[in-house]
Parts: sequence; C-alpha cells; structure tokens
Amino acid sequence: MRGLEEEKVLEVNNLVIRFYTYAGVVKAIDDVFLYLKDGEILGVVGETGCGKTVTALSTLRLIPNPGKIERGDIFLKTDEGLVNLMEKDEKYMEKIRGRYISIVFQEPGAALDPIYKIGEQIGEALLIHRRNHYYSEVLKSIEEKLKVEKSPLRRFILKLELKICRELIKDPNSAYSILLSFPFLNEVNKLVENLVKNDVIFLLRAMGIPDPERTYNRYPHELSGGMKQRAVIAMALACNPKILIADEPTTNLDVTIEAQILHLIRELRDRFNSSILYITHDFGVVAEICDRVAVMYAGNICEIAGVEEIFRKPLHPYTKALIESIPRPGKPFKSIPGTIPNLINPPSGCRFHPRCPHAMEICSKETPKVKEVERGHLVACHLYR
Amino acid sequence: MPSTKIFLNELLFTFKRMRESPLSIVGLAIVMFYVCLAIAAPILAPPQPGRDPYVMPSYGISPIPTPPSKEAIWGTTEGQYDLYYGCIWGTRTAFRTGLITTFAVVIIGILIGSIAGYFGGKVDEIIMRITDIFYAIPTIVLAMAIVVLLGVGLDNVIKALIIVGWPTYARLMRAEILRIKNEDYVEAARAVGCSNFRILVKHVLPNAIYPVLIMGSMNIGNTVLAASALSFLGLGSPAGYADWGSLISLSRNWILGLPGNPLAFWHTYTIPGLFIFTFVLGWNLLGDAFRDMLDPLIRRR
Repeated sequence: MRGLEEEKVLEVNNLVIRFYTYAGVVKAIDDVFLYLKDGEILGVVGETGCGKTVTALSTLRLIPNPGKIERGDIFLKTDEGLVNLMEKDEKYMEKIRGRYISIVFQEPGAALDPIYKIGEQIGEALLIHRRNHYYSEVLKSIEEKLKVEKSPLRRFILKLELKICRELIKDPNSAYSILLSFPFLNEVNKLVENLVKNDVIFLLRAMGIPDPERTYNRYPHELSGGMKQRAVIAMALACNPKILIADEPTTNLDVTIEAQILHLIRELRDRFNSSILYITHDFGVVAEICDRVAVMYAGNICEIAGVEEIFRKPLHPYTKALIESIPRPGKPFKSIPGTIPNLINPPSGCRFHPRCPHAMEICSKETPKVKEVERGHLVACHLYR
Repeated sequence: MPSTKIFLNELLFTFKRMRESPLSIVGLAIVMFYVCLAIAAPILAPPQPGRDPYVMPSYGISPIPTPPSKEAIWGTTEGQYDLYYGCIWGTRTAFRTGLITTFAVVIIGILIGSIAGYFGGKVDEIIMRITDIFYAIPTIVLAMAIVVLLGVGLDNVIKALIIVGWPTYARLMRAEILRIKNEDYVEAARAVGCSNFRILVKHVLPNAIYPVLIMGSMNIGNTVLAASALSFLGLGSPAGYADWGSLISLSRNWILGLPGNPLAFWHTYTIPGLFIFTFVLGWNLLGDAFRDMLDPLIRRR
C-alpha cells in the first residue's frame, strides 16, 4: 500500500461520523478508509443508508446537520502538496470545494437553482475560483485598447478601468468593485461576462449538449432530466477539479440516458484527467465504468478490490450476497435475508454478522480488522485471518 | 444588443401572461385609474392658491351635510367639506399610506425574517417569540394603542401600521428561508465553493423573496383599509384632511339619515366607501397577477 503513495490524490483514514439525533446517536460511519488514485474511477457500493453519501460529503466537509466528524484524516493532494482537510477551516474549504473536489448530486433538477439561467450558474462556479484569471485577461485586453485609443476622455476611462482591475486582482472584496456598477465603467464586467460565457459554452459543448449557445440562456425547468444532469456535471467540472464525486447521478434517469451519462463520465475522466468517486447501488453500473470498488455496509468498509477481482472472486460474505442478488434471467431471485441494522444500536463486532451465513462466534465479539489478502484487495472479515 | 432584445421579449411575455387572466387586467385597470387620479388631482380638483392642497375646502360652518349641488358636485359632508375634492385628493393619501407602509413592512420583514431563518438558534428563537407577542394582541387594537401613545395623526397611523405589520412578513420570510436552505441547489452552491454570504444573497434570498413580495402587493389594499379604520375611529388625520377614512368618519353621525328618510345623507358614506372598496379590490386582483407574472416556475407553464 505504501508504494502507491505518490499516485493517491485523496486518502480517507479512520473516519468516524456520528449524527446526534433526538432518538439517539447514530453511528453512521465507523473507521472508514478509502483512497483514490490519480485518474481512476472508484465505485462505492452499498445499500441505502450505509453511509456512501455521508462518506463522500465528508471529503468536502459538508456533513448535514446534526452530523459531526468525530475523528479521521482526509488527505488531499493539492498544488501545495498533501493537505489534511480535517485541520483546515471553513474559508479554506470554500477554496477546495469546486476547485479540487466537486460533487454531482442524485437529483439533477433539484441541484440547479430555478431562478438562474443554466449558463449563469455554471459561470458562477467559474467566477468563484478563477476570478483573477478573468480579470488579468481583461486587464490585457484593456491595455491593448489603450495603445491604439486617441480620444483623451476614452483614454481616461480606460486608465480608470485598468486601475480598478489591478485593485480587484489584489483584493477581490475591495471597494473598487462598486465603481464597476457605473454605466460608463461597466465595460469591465461585460468583458468578464463574455470570457466566462465563452468558457461556459465550451463546457456545455464538452458535455455533449446540443446548441450550447441557446442552452446557456435556458432556465433549468426548460431542460430534460438528462440535459439537466449534463449541466450539473458541467458545473461540477467547471474549474477542472482533481476529484469528482458522483452521487448516484443516473438513479433518476431512464436507462438510455443513463448509458449516455455513464459514457460521458468516462470520457470526461480521460479528457479532464479527473479521478472519480462514483457512488451507486447498482453493480451493473460498477461493472460498466469503475476501475476499483469499495463495498460498504452499515457505515463500514467491507471490501475494496479491483472491479474484475470483485466479480471474479468476492471475498466478503456481504459482497458475495450483493453480487448474487443481481437479478439474472433464468435464475431464481436471491435477496439478502434480514434487514439493515439500526445504526443507533449497531450489532456488536462485525456489523454484518446477524445476516451473515458464515457467522462464527468471534464475529459478534470482535470487529474484524482490515486485511490485504492480495495486492490491492482488502477485506474486513474474520473468515480471512 | 441581444440583452435588450431578451429583456423586451421577457416584458412582452409578461403582458402576454397577464392577458390570459382577465381578472388581473381588471385589477391593473383599477390601479392605473387611481394612479391617474392621483397624478391628475391638481387638475381635476384645483386647490385654492396658497392653501395646503390636502386640506379640503369648506363651504360654511353648518354641521349638516348638503346633497350634491352645483358648487359641490358630490355634495358636502359634515362641516361643509367638499366630498369630490376630498375623494380626489384622498387618492394621494391612500397611495402614500399604502405604499410607504407596505414598503417599510416588507423591508423590515425580509431583513428580520432572513436573519432569523438563516442563522437559526437563539437569534431565531428570540425573534420568533417577539412576533408571537405581536400575534397575541389583536392587530387593530395594538395599532390603536400605538397611535394613542405616539399622538393622533396620519404619520403616526403609518408608523403604527408598520410596527404591527412586520411580524407577518418576518414569519413568512423565515419559513421560506428555512425551506430554501435545505434545497439541493443550496448544497450544490456550497459544493462549488460559494461562501455563506454569497449563498444567502444569491441563492437563498432571491428564491425566498417571492411569497413576501406577492403578499406585500396584495396587502397594499388591506393597509389602506386598516388606515381607514383607524381614521374612522378618529385616530387618523385631523378633521378636514383629504383622506377617505376620515371622510367616512365625518359621516358617522349621519349614517342613520333623518327620521322618515334614512337615505337623506347617503352620499356622505357611499362615495368614499366606494373609493376604498374599489381601491382595495384593485390591489388584491393585481396581487394575484403579480404572482403569476413574477414566479419563474409558474410563469413558464
């Protein structure tokens, strides 16, 4: 494991998350570990409520109330080297979100603000993280104009605009930004808008959206589900993040659109060179796009392995049961007996033991340790000691 | 310019939407009629030079109202005040009370409601308990008490209506903020790196504000009604001030008419009453239209 260190872009260790609800403390995530290698797609599989989404959101430090990250380390490879996100404050996280890690939610319709045009929303993500880039571009173009401009009044205005741009690059919140709302100075805003618009249209085109110029001016409710999801992906990829979290992005789409979106995600991974954390409960999707799979059950990681490995030789009884419960023609439908445990009072020892066909005495007493059975194939089960 | 063209298209679309509901056209027509009336007041009812135009001219000192005549075309009310003049100039008073009160109430409600909704916790608790206290006392009684405290007068009526009016808006705003705060797109905005302030100003407020604005536009009429009620009770403008409420207040002693002729002084209360009635009706109809026009989700259906 140590040898892969350089390739890792994200590493989550010993993550513990609790939800302090009225009914009691929900032990949602217990000692979860994950790592994401450069350019790979890691699938996170598990039943509803097993903590897939919470794990993913924790990497952005966006745990919904009343959840709290109790312990754990989240290492992210940034331009300044390896950073432990757990040690950083909210202001720093704002810079990370969207720039290094971004997320695509399950429901594309709900993830878009109904009152803004598609283009404006994607542009917002760009403007937040690449403001200075845009202002420097504008600075250059104003300097160009100043070289050829003769009229003294116009020259004065251009010089004023230059000054404002320089101040804004130095300090985005400077009072100079108010000046830009004056009509004779709003040229700067227009130039920035145009630059952003070009980038947004480029993104929309990369998402395979037909007629991006028109889609730019559309409102979310004017688009179909598939198109909305493409727009949401464009928003997430706007600043070319290292890591994209896809939280069941195709669950609410029909099958043909699902195939298109999956294809798009794989294509974008190659094109934008991102690593993707793909959350799903569908092993078919996993087989389709993932490189590696992490199987989660009731807030624990059961097994992590390469995608071929996991289908060929699943080790953990839960993984086996999951794979067997994929409906196949001609075979009787198999489901996993029992129900998901209540995480306020999770079963002692291995959380899967009440439903496990191979349960032994030790399973209810001791939490199984993670063991690397083969290179890159990790399993947490007492059967493999 | 493409942006101008888009704006023009949107404006045309707005009117198209309006044409589809005849009631909103009626509302708009009534309100526009009153706007014209307020603007044209100096032409329709020229004030005597050198006098405060809001003080109705009086044709004598007899308290008994006179029926319509050549001098006063809609007759006079108690104190020989000209009804026609009073009703026309009263339009301005109505607009002033309605618009100032509603504007202030909406702004205060939005500010306080969003603070309560967005920050939650103790701040929310304190603000909401204050609104509870306001709700525990009947609105008009509370307004009366405040006017008595501040002193009788139209300005104080406006102040009193603002003081009793904001809790409704603050509550509505808070409820909307709480709803919007949990929407996925707010989470999505946070996930692309928006700061708290930016999320509040750009995503939460604009989405939460519509119900408050619509309620405000519907309430302009009701505010005028409340102000008229206070004037009727003698707490509003001084006698002789052009204000529909006080015109009805002046007719209070004559509502029963004369023995054997109950409708002897019908004009003293019917005419200003009709003005108040249609004014309020117009704003209420227009409020509905505003909802259909402004809400981007309903708008495109």
